[in-house]
Order: sequence, then C-alpha cells, then structure tokens
Amino acid sequence: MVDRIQQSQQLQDNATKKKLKTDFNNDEIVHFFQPKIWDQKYQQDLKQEIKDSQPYRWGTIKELMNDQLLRNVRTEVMNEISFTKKETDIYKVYQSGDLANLSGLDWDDLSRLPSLYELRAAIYSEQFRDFISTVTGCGKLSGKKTDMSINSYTTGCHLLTHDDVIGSRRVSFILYLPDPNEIWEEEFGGALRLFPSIVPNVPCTDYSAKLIPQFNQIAFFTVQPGLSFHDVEEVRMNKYRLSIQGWFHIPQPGEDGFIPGEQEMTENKSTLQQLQSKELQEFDFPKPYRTDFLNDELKIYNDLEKYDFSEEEVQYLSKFINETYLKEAHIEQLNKNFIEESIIEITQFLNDDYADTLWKLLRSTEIEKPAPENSKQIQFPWKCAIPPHKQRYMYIDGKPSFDLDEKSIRFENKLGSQESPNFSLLQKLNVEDTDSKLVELSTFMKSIVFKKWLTLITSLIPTSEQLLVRRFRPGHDFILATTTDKKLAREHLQEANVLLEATLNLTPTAKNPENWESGEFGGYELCMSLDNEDGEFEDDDPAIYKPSDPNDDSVLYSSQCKWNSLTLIVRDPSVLKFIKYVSINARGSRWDISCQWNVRDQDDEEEDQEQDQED
Amino acid sequence: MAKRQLGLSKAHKNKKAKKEETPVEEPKDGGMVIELPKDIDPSNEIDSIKGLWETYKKDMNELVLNGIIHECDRMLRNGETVNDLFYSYYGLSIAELSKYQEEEKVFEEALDRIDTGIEKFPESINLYFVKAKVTIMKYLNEGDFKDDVLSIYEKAEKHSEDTKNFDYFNDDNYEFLEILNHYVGEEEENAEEDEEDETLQKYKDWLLKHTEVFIKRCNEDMKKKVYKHLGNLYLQSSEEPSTIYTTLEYEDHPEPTINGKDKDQAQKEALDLLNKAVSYFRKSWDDEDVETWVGVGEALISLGNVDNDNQEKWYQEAEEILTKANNVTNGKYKDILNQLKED
Repeated sequence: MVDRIQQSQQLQDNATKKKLKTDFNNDEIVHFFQPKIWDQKYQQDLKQEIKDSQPYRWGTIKELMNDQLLRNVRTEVMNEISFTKKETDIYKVYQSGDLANLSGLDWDDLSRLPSLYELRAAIYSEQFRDFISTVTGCGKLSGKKTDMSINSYTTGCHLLTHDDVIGSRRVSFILYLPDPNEIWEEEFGGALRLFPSIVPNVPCTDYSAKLIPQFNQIAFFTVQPGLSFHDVEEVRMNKYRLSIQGWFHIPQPGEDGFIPGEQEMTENKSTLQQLQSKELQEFDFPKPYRTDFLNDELKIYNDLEKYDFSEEEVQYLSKFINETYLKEAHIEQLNKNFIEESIIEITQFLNDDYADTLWKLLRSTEIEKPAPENSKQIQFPWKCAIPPHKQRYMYIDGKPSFDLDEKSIRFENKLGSQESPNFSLLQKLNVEDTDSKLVELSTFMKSIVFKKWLTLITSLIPTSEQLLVRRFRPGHDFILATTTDKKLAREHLQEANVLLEATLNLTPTAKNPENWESGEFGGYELCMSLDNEDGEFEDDDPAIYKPSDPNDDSVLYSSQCKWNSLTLIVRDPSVLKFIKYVSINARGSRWDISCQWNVRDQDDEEEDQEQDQED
Repeated sequence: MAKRQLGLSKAHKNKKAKKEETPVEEPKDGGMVIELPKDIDPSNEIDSIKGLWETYKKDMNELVLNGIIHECDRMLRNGETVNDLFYSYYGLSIAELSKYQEEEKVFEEALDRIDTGIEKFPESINLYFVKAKVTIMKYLNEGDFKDDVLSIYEKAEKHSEDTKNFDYFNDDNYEFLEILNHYVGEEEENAEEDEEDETLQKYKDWLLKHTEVFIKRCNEDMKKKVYKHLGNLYLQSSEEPSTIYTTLEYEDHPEPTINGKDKDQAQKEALDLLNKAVSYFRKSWDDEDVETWVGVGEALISLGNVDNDNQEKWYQEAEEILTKANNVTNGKYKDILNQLKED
C-alpha cells in the first residue's frame, strides 16, 4: 500500500517536472531579450527616434530577442504549426491560429512549443510592456489581453493599406522571422510600408517610409486612429517570410492603468466606422456620381420600342462592335438571357480590326514604357484613384487633373469649376496613341446610338451615366469591396433601385487565358451578396470568401481578366463588388472601361404607358 | 407575364430557389469522371490510355496514374490486342508512381513492362526513348548514374534516323535530355571550383550534340523550347573560355595561358560559342514569354564582354531588350539593367 502511494507520488512529481515552465522571473525575462534594450541611453535614443519618426510615430529594433531563442521559435513553428491560406479583397496570407490560448493547451501541445511560449511570455511581460510604454509614450499596456498570431508570407502574399484601428488595440508590433541565414533583400518584396495622411483618416496613396525586415527585427507603432496607415508589400520571390504579428491592448479591468470607458471610446474611433463617414468621402476619387441625360436624349431611349437602326447608325456601330451583335436575332437572344439572369457576358465584343489595333497599342504601351510607380508619375489624361485604404488604380474620367493634397482636393470639391466629363474634347488634345484610342472607344460608349443598342439588350432605359477608363497596374492596384448607395432610385425619374454596370475587359495579356485564369495573379472582378436583410455584413471581414468553393453561395459572379469581353450586370444595393489586387508577377496590367447607369425598367415604362392609356 | 427579377442578387436567389425545387441527381457510384482531350477517340482503348496519360501530365493526379495502370493490367488480363505505345504508357505510368510512393521495385516493374514491349516490338522507336527515360529516372533515384543510359537513347535516335520516322521527337521523350541536363547542372554545382571533371564535360558535349539532333527532328511547336535550351547550353559552355579570356585580358595573370589556352584562343572559342548561344536564343524568342527575351539579353551581354570590336552594339541591344523585359515584369530586371548601365 505504502509502495503504491509512493509510486503514485512519483508519477505526480514526474508529471510536474514534465510540465513546461510557465512562470518566469525577472532574470529570465531579461535574458530573453538582447541586453541593449535595457540600457537607459538606448531607450532614450530610441524614444527620440520614434518622436522624430515619419510619417507617424513608429519604431524598429534590430536584433531584439535572444538569437537562439528566436531561432528555436522559428524551428518550432516550421515543424509544428500548420498554416492556412486566407485570402480576401484586402490580403493574401498564410495564417496560423490565434496564440492567445497557449496557456490552456495540454501537455502535448506545450511540449511542442516551449520556445514559442517563452517568446510570448517575454513579449507580454511587464518588463517589455514598460519598455514599449517608455519608448512610445503610449501609456500602460495590458498583460492580460494578449493578441498574437503567426503569419507566413510567400510569393503573392500581401496586405493592403489599413491602420489597425480595431477594438482596444494600443500598440501594433511585428516581429520578423525570415531565414536567419540569409539577408532578406529588397527585391524579395514583403516590406512594411508606412503612409502619410492627406487629412486624418485619409491616407496618401504613396508610401513615404519602407522597412525591409530582417530576422529578429521588430517594427512597432502606437495605433493612431486616422494616421497609422501601413501595408505589407507583396512578396514577389519564392521566399518564405515568417512573422509574429500582434497587438498590445489598453489595460483591462483590474490592471494597472485601466480607465473605465476608455475601451468604448477607443472602439468608437475604429476606422471601419470612419470608412462610412460621408465627410471623408469628399476625398474619394473618382466620385460615384453619374451625369444625367438631357431630356431630348432621354426621350430617344424612352421611345425605343424595337430594333430600328438606320444605315448610318449601323455604320457607326459596326466601326466598333462585332457585327454579329448588331443582328436583330442575336440582340433578342441576348436580351432574353439578360432578363433571366441580370447578367450577360459578350465575348469578342469589338470587331476584329478595332480589337487588333487596340491590342497592339495597349501591348506596346506595356512593353515600351514602365508603368507609373507612384501617383506623381501618372500623367494626364490619367489620374490616380484614392484613397488607398479603399482603392488605387489609374483612370481617365474625361475631366481635368488635380494634385492629391488637401488644398487641391478642397478646391476641386468646393471652390473650382465643376466640370462634366468630356471625352470628345480629350480626343482633340495631344495625347498618346493608346490613350487616344481608349478615349475614342469611350466616346463611342457614351454615344446615343450605343445606348440605344444597350437599351435593346437590357430592356433598361439609361437615365444617367459615368464612364471610366481604368488601368490596374501589377503590384499597385485594386478596389476593395464596396456596395453602392442603398437608395439609387430617384423617384421623380421613376428609376429602379439598381445600377446597370458594364465592364469592357481589355486586358491584352488575357488573349492567352493561361496568363490569368488561375486567379493567382489577382485582377479579377468579384460580386458577392450581403448576408442579411439589413444589407450589412455579419462577418468582421466583409469580404472573406472562398472563390474556389462551389458551395459558397455569397459569390454571385466572378470574372478573371479577359480580352475584348463586355459584361453587363444589373447591380442592386445588396451586391458587394471588388477588383482583386493585381500581383506584381502578373503578365501585365488589367485594363477595362467601366460604365454605370441609373436606369428605368422598360417593363415599368410600358406598364405606365398602358396605365395612362386606360386612364 | 411575371415581373422580372431585377438585380444580380435577386436573380441569383431566384435561380437558387428553382434549383432547390428540382434537385440534381448525384451519380451513385462516386467514381471519378475524367474528361479526355478532344482529339482522343474514347472507343479506341489505347487512344484512351494516351488521353489519360495526357490528362495526368496536365493535372499530376495520382488517381489518374493508378487508373492507367489498372486499365493496362485489365487489357493484358483479357488478352486484348496491344501495341508498342501501350507498353510505353504502361512503363511510364509505373515509373511515375515513384513520385508518390516509396516503393523500391517501382522502376524494376516499369522496365519489365518496357522490356516486354521491346521483345514484342523490337523495332519500336518510342520504347527505346521511354526505356532511356525510365532508366535515367531509376539511376538518379538510386543516386547512382551510369552512362549506359546514353546508349539506350542513342539506339532510339538511330532507329528514327534509319526509318526516317521522327514522330517520337516529342515533349515526353525530350524529358530525357532535360533530366540529364538537370543532373549535369547539379553535379557541376556540387563540384569543387577548380576541379576539372572530364566525365561531366563528356556529358555536356553529349547533351549539346543530341539536343542539336533533337531540334532538327521535332515539331515546330516544340522548337522554341528546345532553342532556348540550346541557347543555355552554349551559354554555359562559353563560361570557361570567356573567363579565361577576360582574366588574361584584364587582370594581371602570371601565366600567358590558363587550362592550355592563350588569350586569343580563349576569345575565339568564346566568341564561337556565344554567337551560337545568341543565335539560338533569338530563335527561341516568344512575344508571350519574357524569359526568352531575357535569354537574348543576357547572351548579348556575355558576347559584348568578349567581343571588343562590337561591344557597344551588343550592350546597346541588350539594354533595349532588358528595358522592355523590365517594363513588362514590373521591375524584375532592374538590377541587371542598372549593372549594365554602370558598365
């Protein structure tokens, strides 16, 4: 009996020994880090560096941790943790699970991750939190609310512009663990890039600071609502960059520095809410405004009952459009399909001659000239769509250029002449051949006769329009998921509460579909439905999707980059749409002409006329 | 007539509702459905195996591979009429299993099928090509390369020449040369810097010779790929004489010769090889494949390094080409360009 008790005791002792160390004394914590960070002078120098830093307060420390500890962490992660690819409109990254619950794991898990556990203990230790508070001046940080995850970036991975303002985050940090035996070169990509702001909550489209991360380097900054905008440059080489991303949160109840109500106040500053702010939309360009048609023009579409083009009209249409689509029977069939599905794709839309000429010009532009690398290199008639936490791409809207600073934007919005688009005038200016051709095509798509054709195809009467020529450059451009206004219909015009949207896809490298069809280079257009009746997304991440999941009901439509293909969609306010970031390794830019029209349903129009007759 | 559902979202819901009313019946056996390439006659069983093989190459799906092997087993069991192609695909498929399974006897089994085919069809060109490929895969898998595999390939080549049948200079059989090239490249990397390896040089010369034969015999649609390969082979061959020339020309070298070559001899040899490299790279040029442009550019830079009389001309052309390549790849060749401009 005594023996059995002793045996049992022995087993328990062994079990206790086997449990990993979860408490660390001061010495141990201190030794998890490089000794330099505990030096007063070092801290003061770093504090000053952060104070002087631009475009907002941020800091970096090379060789932060004990080198062996971090190498061990890297090995553990590579051996024990599995990563899942996660892709939305705003990022593509391989993520592990959240590490907050390390303490709750059982023995097997802890034994597999002892160094990682030490790292987390070190980062959230009172000593290191105090260090961060000292050098950033951010105030106290929570030791209770830990928030870390491990991310892996490899070829194609990226994270677009955002400011980390969510919930109770106070300080963001990223600890980098690429291969410790290799310098991470600039040409690999994957840099952390920081963006100044035009005004608070509106980042500039060009970054002003860039950090090329090395092993055991940390970057950190106080989460500054409306200011701390940053992104992760796409990794362009076949290299593997591990990082531990995390946040220090504001002190929680019971912790030193806890202030009742502070959390709620911080959450109110969330950028997600700011994104919706009408005031800030003045910095959105291009504007989502459509130009109304004059009554005479409107009457032409209203009165259109059937296929009835004059010879002159057919001649003009056939200068651009494939003559197959000018035949009455074809138009009727397209109309039938469109009414059924609210979407239609018309391939080989432009006739061969026009398409060939345009293709050569676009391709020549891509080959002979480097794509503009920043907004200052973009020349008229092109402009840069802003702000980058919503979109970035080049566009021609037929209006004059303006600078992208606060003063110029305010002048453009509030003081200067409110110009209407004028593509015909643009054609007369001395622009380059490719631009001239695109403008010519745009002029055609704004023509009355094209809109008559459109009315026959869609049975929708356009009442206003916006047309943009767009170019999405590899390594730069995208549009994040957005909806339209909820109320699109203007009652006095008897409009339907939808937009008719056209995308004429003109990506020259898509002539070979293999260049784009896998989707790995982005550039695709995706429409999703919002989940609930209120028209709001239930998920925190509005655009999490699984494009390859055939059971994903929320994806209504997706289209890779194409050459010479026109897609028409009736878009209701519950439809979320985005253009996926174009990878730097894409074969070329995505080019398209995008149109939007307010519309009246021709069926409604006929019903009204019948009603009038009866009356 | 019912009012139409206006909007993508509503139309989608409508469609979904209709689908739920009339559910689609799922196939009962849960088997795999494979779409064969369009030019395959599914009623011809050997043609079907060819189709499956092409599908496998595209998707690299182990299940398809297993399907080919099972189908071949079944045809033999049923005593069906087969030809040399049958044994080729049979052997190749078993050999491919090595990519998915650690089965020791995989290559023996594969060679057994191929040899059976050769016994029955001794004049088969394709079987010798396939035997060469599977044999080299076996040797490399075992880490023990033997050059008797080269004579198996030569036999296939000779059969082709004798019968004037060049149909088998195709993508599948070209892989033998690609595998050999890869092996030689790896051996060279692992070799000591100053170590001169006569055996490796023999293999490189063999590779060059037989790739030159291949380019003459293969179809047009393969030629660009092979030209690119030839360009690379000549470029690699030029490294030694180019290095000797530039060392003797620009550096203080104690001896007038290196490896038995003086400056003029080295330059002549380098020029000859580099001109061939440039010529082949030019032939490989594909507007759709930027790497072929870069091949020309890099070869021109190498040529410019040894051709003093025309250096500016070659550098100028290289710069123009690499600038375009850089534009199209969004800055991928920025460093090479900058270096060229500095030089």
